[in-house]
Amino acid sequence: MEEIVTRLKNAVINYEMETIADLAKQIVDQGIDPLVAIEEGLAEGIKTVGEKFGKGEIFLPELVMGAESMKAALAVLEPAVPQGQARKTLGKVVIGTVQDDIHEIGKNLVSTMLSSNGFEVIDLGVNVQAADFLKKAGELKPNILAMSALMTTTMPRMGEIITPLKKENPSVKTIVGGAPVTDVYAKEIGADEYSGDASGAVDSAKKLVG
Amino acid sequence: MANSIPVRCRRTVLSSDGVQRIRYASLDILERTGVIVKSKRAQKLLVDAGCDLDEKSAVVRFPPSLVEECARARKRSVTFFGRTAKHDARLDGDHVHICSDGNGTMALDFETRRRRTSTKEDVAKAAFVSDALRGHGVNWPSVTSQDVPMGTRHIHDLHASLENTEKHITLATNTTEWEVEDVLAIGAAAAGSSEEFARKPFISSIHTSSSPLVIDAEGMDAGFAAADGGMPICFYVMPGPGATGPVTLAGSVAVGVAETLAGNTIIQLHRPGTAFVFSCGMAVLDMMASTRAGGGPEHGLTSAAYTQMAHHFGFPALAGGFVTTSKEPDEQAAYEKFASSVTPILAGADLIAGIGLLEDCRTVWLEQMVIDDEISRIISRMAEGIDVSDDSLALDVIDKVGPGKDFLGVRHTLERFKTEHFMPTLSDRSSWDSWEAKGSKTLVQRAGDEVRRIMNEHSVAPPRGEVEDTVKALIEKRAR
Repeated sequence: MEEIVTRLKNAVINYEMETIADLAKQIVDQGIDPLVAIEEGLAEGIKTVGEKFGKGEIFLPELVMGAESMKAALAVLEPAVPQGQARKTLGKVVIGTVQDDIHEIGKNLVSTMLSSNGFEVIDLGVNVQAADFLKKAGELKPNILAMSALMTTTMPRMGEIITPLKKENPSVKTIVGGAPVTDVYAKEIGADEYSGDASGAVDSAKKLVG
Repeated sequence: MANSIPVRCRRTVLSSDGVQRIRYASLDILERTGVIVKSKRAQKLLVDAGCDLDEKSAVVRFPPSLVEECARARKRSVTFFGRTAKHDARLDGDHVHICSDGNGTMALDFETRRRRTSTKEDVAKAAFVSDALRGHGVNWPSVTSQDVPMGTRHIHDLHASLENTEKHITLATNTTEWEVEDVLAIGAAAAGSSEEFARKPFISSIHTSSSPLVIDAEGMDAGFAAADGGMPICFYVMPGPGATGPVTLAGSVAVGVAETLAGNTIIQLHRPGTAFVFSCGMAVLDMMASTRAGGGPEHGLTSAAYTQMAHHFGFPALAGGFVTTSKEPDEQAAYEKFASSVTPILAGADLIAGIGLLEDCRTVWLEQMVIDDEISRIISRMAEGIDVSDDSLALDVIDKVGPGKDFLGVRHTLERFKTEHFMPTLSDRSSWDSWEAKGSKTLVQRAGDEVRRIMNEHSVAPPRGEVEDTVKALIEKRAR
């Protein structure tokens, strides 16, 4: 592996989010294959960070900084990937917080955990209408549609998405989460998986694509 | 007067310099960083009063003079009226009222021992048991009714509460204008008329910010409707240090105070004099488990600091406490609930929310409710401190009893022991032999016995008959 790709990997492991984009630019300028840089540099780096978090060696702020570093470099490297090629991922996840709910920190943590574990994550943001979830599921054909709600008043919206989704795109699996959501509730509304925390969401996602 | 803890032995966590610095920090946040205010009605009020609005981002920047002027415009004392006068809770800065809390979604079924989704029956039972508790003052429905049609949950939560407690009800399930309308209609039916309800509102309304520094449109507009109907407004902020607020407690308290002052400014501009309660639940994010650590020692500290800030600005405070992330009423639940409640109680928070729930305010256990009541009464005794007076020094009694005798059989003891000493309901202080003779019961078993006793012996005065008709009509109108 090129020395500079190893440096890119270490820049993720050391959370160098402020300077990693410059390093990625150097890689592109030097004519190194951006897919190699992504897969052997960024993906390996974030995998190490994810493993350390899983073992309890580092904490959430470090994990998030690692993911932010990866994102900063991806923003430079992805546009440089030649047309027709794509990076390998474990699967595609479309994620969002349901209509009338603007609480997103839990959803963001799940996104971070999923991308640090090799998933491609498309984040629809907050206050996402049911119709938009369904539209994106149809367009992007993800493996998984993940939804969150933080309030007891918005929680039922998840069920209102799952029911039509099963008819329209039965191959798309669903994960639900958020503070008031429980395993019991997830079963009631017909979700495929439920997770009480961000690490659990990774296990759920792996189960659904495995 | 409602059950309350008089705070004679106050323990603050901020120095007066600390209070001033947080005051200026929160005013700085409002003036420099600003708050996203999504309600168009609120935006108009603020701009007319001299605030700066960025149309595109909806960020409003507040002149400090306006914020402080609106903080002075509040109603000075706030009373959370009970449905019956004996439960009136005066929020005067010197008494702590323990409040049940707040919109959980799960219940441990008292009969089947199964953990399941909460129902209207759970709202009713929790209200009934808490109504009987001596340490409990105000009822915030512990869980929400999830076995009812969509669009009617707020009606059922209030209905079950009115039927099962005479104490003040503070509601958080009315997050839209039309839900507030329903609550006001039921309130008017229970009071006799809208005017009577507005004169002595026995329901208050909780509205929230979305930390950091966002005030949503729907919730704020609902707050306007609630204020117009005469309900006191609890503006609940929850910046979580390290997640939705700065990792440092002082910084998160400043963000929380800024959000609350923004909420008050909007409410007072809409309806001057509206009773407004500073309300917060600021627990850190556990950086490993990615859960809210409501039972952490920081939660007690932020609640106490925020209480001091509320009192500094002249408002009553509703603060989180009695919180645990434990899954059952175990040792962790006991120490976390004690740790998160002792600090704000001793700081004099007017209302402390949290009793009865486990799993960070998610699951109600009736046993935990009576255990928390016991904890609150223990802390109540701590908050009373030691009264030093001629009567309590009891020199004449000491002289009369004399050296080598005991004080059990004197009138001074008989007349004072029940107030001078904490009298346990649940705590076991018996000898090994008598504990064994009574069945070697654990705390949770004894708490279960107490719940059963309350269910059999307690009674609640029913609300006016009109409530039933109003509730029926509203359910028909709203069910979908």
